[in-house]
Amino acid sequence: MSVILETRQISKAFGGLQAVHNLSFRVQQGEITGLIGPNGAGKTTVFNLVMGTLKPDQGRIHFKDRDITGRKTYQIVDLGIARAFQIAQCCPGKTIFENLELCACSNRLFSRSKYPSAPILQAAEQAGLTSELEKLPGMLPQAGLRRLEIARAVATSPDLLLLDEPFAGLTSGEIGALSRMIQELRDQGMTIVLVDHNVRSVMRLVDRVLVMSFGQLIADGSPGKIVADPMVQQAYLGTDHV
Amino acid sequence: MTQRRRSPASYIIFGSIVGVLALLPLLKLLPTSWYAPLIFANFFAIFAMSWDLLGGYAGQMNLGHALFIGVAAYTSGLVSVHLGWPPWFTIPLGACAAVIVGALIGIPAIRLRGPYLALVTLLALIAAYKLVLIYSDVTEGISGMSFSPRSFFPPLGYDVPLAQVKVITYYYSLGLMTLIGLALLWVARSRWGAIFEAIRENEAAVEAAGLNPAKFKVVAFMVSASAAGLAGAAYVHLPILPVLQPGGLDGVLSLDLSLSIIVASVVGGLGTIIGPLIGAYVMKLSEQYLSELPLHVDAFRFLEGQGWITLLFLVLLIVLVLFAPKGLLPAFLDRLLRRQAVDVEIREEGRKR
Repeated sequence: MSVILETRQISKAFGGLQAVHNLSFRVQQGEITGLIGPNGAGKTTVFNLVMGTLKPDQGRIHFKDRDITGRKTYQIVDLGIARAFQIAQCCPGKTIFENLELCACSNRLFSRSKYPSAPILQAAEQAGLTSELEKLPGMLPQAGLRRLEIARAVATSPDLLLLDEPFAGLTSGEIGALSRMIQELRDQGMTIVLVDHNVRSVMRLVDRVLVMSFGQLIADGSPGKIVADPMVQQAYLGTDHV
Repeated sequence: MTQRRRSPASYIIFGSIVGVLALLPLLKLLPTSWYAPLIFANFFAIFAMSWDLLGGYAGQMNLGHALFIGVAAYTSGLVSVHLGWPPWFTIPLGACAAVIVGALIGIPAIRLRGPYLALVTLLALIAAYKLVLIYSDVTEGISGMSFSPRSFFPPLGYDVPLAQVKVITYYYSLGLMTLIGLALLWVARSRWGAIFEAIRENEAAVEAAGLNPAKFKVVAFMVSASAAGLAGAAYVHLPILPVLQPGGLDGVLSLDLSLSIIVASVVGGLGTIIGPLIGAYVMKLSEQYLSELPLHVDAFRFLEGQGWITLLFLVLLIVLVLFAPKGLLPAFLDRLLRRQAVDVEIREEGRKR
């Protein structure tokens, strides 16, 4: 498997707070990678750095062997990375179809192809939103909004999908359905990195786990190896998971 | 495309309004005194619709829309007067000048939002006004340029009777309004329009979708400025415009004009293009009607002079905004849809029984 995303010694500080410190990791193509850690470990900051929302103070970020450090979010999305936020970033006045349509739009001012309907309909189908395309996002329940947010990211046809807390606030049934959706996306060839506090669900889903604490990577390995890691247990998991 | 954008409703309403306006002179329903306000209303409708694309669709609060109108009007007017170039050349030239100014004003919009952007647009308008005063040897300053635009207006010469001039000018302005209105409607319902709306609703969502909001904001400014500028430049060459002046009642760079454009858009319904069109006609025609009221109705004669008519007009606008805060068109459509929904409900109830 080839490396799709690589961070090299990236750091980011907010005033006196070192949110991310000399962080280096690689994400293999086709894998589902879980990024876990206690609150304030710097997980979301890593997503912000990858997506260009924040610029690293030092270090470089490479996507498919291309340096994407400091690029703007829309340029990074154009290169093939998409992010699904914990709180849906949709347009409340637009229908679900229109929200997905926006993600499939070309950034060019003049584009011959108006709205490629194939990725829109495929994303809607995968998210189970086909029958709700003419609804407004506000009419969806929490789990529906989460599926819409992922569908929005998928509609950009990414190679790498970053999922920010996809399971937060969902019931176990909804988590199961969402996990199946994420696995389907991986089976289609998408690489996925997800951040979540629901360790059990993450461990069941992912191929590999990265554990962060105080802005640093403290462990990297398979779910089985991570659960047994004494350092991870001490910093984050506790002894219940052993 | 979705149902909403595919719906021909906007074009049907637009066509109906244009149709009615086109029939008025033919059916001799228009008193001579109403030509001038209607001609101005046609231009005012273009100004309001072009503002709506930027303010209503893209959510860019522009308090200085008259800047685009004034820049185009002065460019076209000055080039015509000082260089003697014909209107068919100076009108597009004026529109081009407005587009350039639109792009320049659009650049700060990349960083600024809400009241800060509103302030920049307002200051730019005041700066342009001052510039006209500073170069008063060329622009004739606050008193305005008293050239003879009639000679620049291609189909008309000095020998055409005034009544005919009014009718021709009316159709000229209506034709321009129709063309620019259709173009703005087309843009609003296109991919650009969808992106403008998304920028207004959630700029972060636009960027997360892989689109560059900054680029599309500047485009919104340029398209809005081009429409306003084209109308502003054409307005200068109207045979019935007495002088080209920056401020005052007919001022093309006045804050009054900017604000009344926004009022018309709000009264009609933001983000609809058709709403501001309706708002513009409602405002201009009710203004004219109220000003004529004391002449026709004895009971209102006491309102003559004294500024009571303006006050009454302002109170009416406040009442309109209070009772239809989303604007006249959305209020009408909401009521229509609600009535349809009730009808469907009653029919279904009846079927069940």
